[in-house]
Amino acid sequence: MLKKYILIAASLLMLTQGFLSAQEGPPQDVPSVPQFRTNSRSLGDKSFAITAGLYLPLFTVLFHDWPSGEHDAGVYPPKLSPGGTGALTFSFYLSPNLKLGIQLAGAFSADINRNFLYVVPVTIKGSWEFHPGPRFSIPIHLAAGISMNTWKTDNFRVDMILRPGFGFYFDWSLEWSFGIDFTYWFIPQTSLEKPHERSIGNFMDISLTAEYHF
Amino acid sequence: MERFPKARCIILLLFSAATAVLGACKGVGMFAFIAVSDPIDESRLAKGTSASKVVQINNEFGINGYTTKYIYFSSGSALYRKNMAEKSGVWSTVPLPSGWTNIQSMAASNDQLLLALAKESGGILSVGLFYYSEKDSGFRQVRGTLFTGSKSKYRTLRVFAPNPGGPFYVNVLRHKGGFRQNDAEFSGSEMYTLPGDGKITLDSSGKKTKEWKKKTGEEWKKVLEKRYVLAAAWSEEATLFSTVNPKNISNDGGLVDSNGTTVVTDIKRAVSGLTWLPNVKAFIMCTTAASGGNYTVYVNKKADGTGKWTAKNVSSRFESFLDITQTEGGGGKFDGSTKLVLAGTHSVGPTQGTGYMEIDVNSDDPVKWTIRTDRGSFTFADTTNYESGELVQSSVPSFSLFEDYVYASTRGKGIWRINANAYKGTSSRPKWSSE
Repeated sequence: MLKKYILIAASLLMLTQGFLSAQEGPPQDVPSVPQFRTNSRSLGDKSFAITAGLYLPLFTVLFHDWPSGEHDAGVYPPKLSPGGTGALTFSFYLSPNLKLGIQLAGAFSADINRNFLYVVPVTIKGSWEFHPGPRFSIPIHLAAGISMNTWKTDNFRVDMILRPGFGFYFDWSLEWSFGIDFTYWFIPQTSLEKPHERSIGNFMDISLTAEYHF
Repeated sequence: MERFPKARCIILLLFSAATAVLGACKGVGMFAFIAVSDPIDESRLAKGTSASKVVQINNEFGINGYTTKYIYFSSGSALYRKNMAEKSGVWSTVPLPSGWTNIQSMAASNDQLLLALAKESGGILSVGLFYYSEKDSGFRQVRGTLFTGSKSKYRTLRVFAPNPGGPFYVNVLRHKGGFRQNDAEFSGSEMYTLPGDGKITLDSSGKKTKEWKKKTGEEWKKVLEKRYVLAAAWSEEATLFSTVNPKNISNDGGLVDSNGTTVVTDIKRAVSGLTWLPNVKAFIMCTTAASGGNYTVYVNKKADGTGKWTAKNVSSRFESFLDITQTEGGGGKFDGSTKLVLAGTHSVGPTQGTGYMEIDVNSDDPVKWTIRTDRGSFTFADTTNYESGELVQSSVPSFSLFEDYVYASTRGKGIWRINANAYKGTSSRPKWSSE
C-alpha cells in the first residue's frame, strides 16, 4: 500500500513538474525552480489524522488548603505515571494556513496505587500551519472543549480542557503528512461545594501523527 | 424553511447530550485526590481473597516466657492466623484436619474457635464441627456433630458466638438438590447450642461432648421451619437473632431472642448486620430487601430489643456495623465531638461494593442520627487514603475492633486495617492499609 502511495506521489511530482515546464517554459538563462508545493492547501480541503504517543503528567495545582490541615494549597507532583495517548482528528482548511477541526482524544495513566486515570477530551481544534518549505509544515494549534475524566470505578467528571501545542510535519505527498506533536493539557477541575478539590491538572503529550488530506 | 426545525433539533440533541453527560458526574475532584495521595502497602494476602470476620480468642499463653496472642480469619479452604503483636507481619495458614477441604463458618468464644468444616467425596457431602485452640495446638472434632448427605439431601452449618465469652449457636440448614448451597435448595433449619461458658468439654477419650444440644422448643421449631439465621448479637442483657426465609426476603424475616420468641412483630423484611453497639448502647441492623428503592436501617436503644425500632431509609444496603465511638478516630477528634459508627455496604457486584459509610451517632435520639453517604464528608480516616485504596470499592461483610485496630473484611479485596487511635497527639487522620 505504502509503495503504491510513494509511486503515486512520485508520478504526480514528475507529471506536475513536466506540466509546469510545458506551460511556462523557463528562460534559457535562469535555472529551473520547482513551483510545486506538496503542502499547498486551500479552502475546502479536508484532512483526517490519527495520533498515538506518550502521555506525561506534569504537576497539579491545588487552590485551597485541605480541611484536615494535612495538605496546603500549592503545586504538587501529579503522582501519576507516564501513560499513553491517542486521538482522531477531522479538519477543514479555511485558508492555506488555517484549519479547524474536531478531535476525539484519550489518555491513560496509573496513580501510585495502580488505579488508572482515564482522560477523554472532545475538543474543537484550530491550527495555523507555517510552511517553511514545500515539504515541511509547522502547525501551532489550540484545542478547547470538554474532558471526560474517570478514576477508579465511581469517579466521573466532565471538565473544561485547553490544549495548546505545536508540531513538525513532513509532507510526504499531496495526501499524506507525518509528524510529531507536542501538546500541553491544561485541565481545571472545579467543585462548588468542596473548595479543596479545586485544582488544575497539567499534562503533556508527545505523539506521532499520520494525516491524510483529501 | 426546513432548516430551522433541523437546527433546533440538533441544538436540542446537543443540549440533551450535554445534560446527560454533566448529570452523570459523580465522585471527587480526582486530580487533587491523586496529587495528595500516599502509597498504600500492597496486600500480602492472595489477590481476590474474601475474608470472614477477623476474630480473636483468649489465647495468651507463654512458650519459654514468650506470650503470643493471635487473631484469625477464614477464607474458603484456609484458616489464617496472625500474631497480634506483629501488626505488619504476615498471615500464616493453619492446616485443616486431614481430608477436610472447606470452612463453611467460624466463630470465636473464650479460648476456642468453632469451625464448621466440610468435605465432599463420592457424591457425599460431610459437614462437621471442630474446635481449635492454641493451647491444644490443633483441631478437635465435636462428637455428634457430623452430618452427611447426598446431593439430593444434605446440610450446611452456620456458627455464631454473639457473646465472646458465651455459648456457641449452630444453625443447621437443610438443603435439597445439588451441592450449590444456594437459597433455592434451602428447606428449613434447626438450632443447636454448645456449652454456655464457651468451653467444649471432652470425655476421657478426648472426643465426646455431652453439651451439644438441639433447641427443641416449639418457638425455635416454628421460626426455623422455613428460615435460617442471618446474624446474631448480644447486648449483655439479651441475645437476638435475625432470621430469614430466603424465598421471601421481603415479607418473611424476623427478629427472635435466644428462646426463638419473636421480639418485634412489625418488621417483616429480612434484616442483616444485626449488631449491638456497646458504647452507644443500641442494636442496629439493615433490611436485605429494598422497598421503594430504599433499604431501612433500624435502631433500638433497648437492650432486650423490645419496644420501638427507629427506622431510617437509605439508598445503600448495609451488612455490618462497628461502634468506634471510643476511639480517637470515631470519637470526634476532627469533627467537633461527633461520634461515629461505621456501616459496611453490601455488594453491588460479585466482588464490588461501595466501601463503608459513617453514621453520626452524636445524638441520644437515633431519629437524629445522620448517615453520611458523601465520602467527602467522612472524618474517621484520611480521605485521600480511603479514596485511593480498594476498600472504597469493596463490599464489607464484617468489621472487628481489637485494641487500637479496626479490621474490615471484604469480599474479594482482602482485609484492611487501620489504627483508630493512630493520631493521638498528632493532627493526622489515620490511614487504611491492606493486610
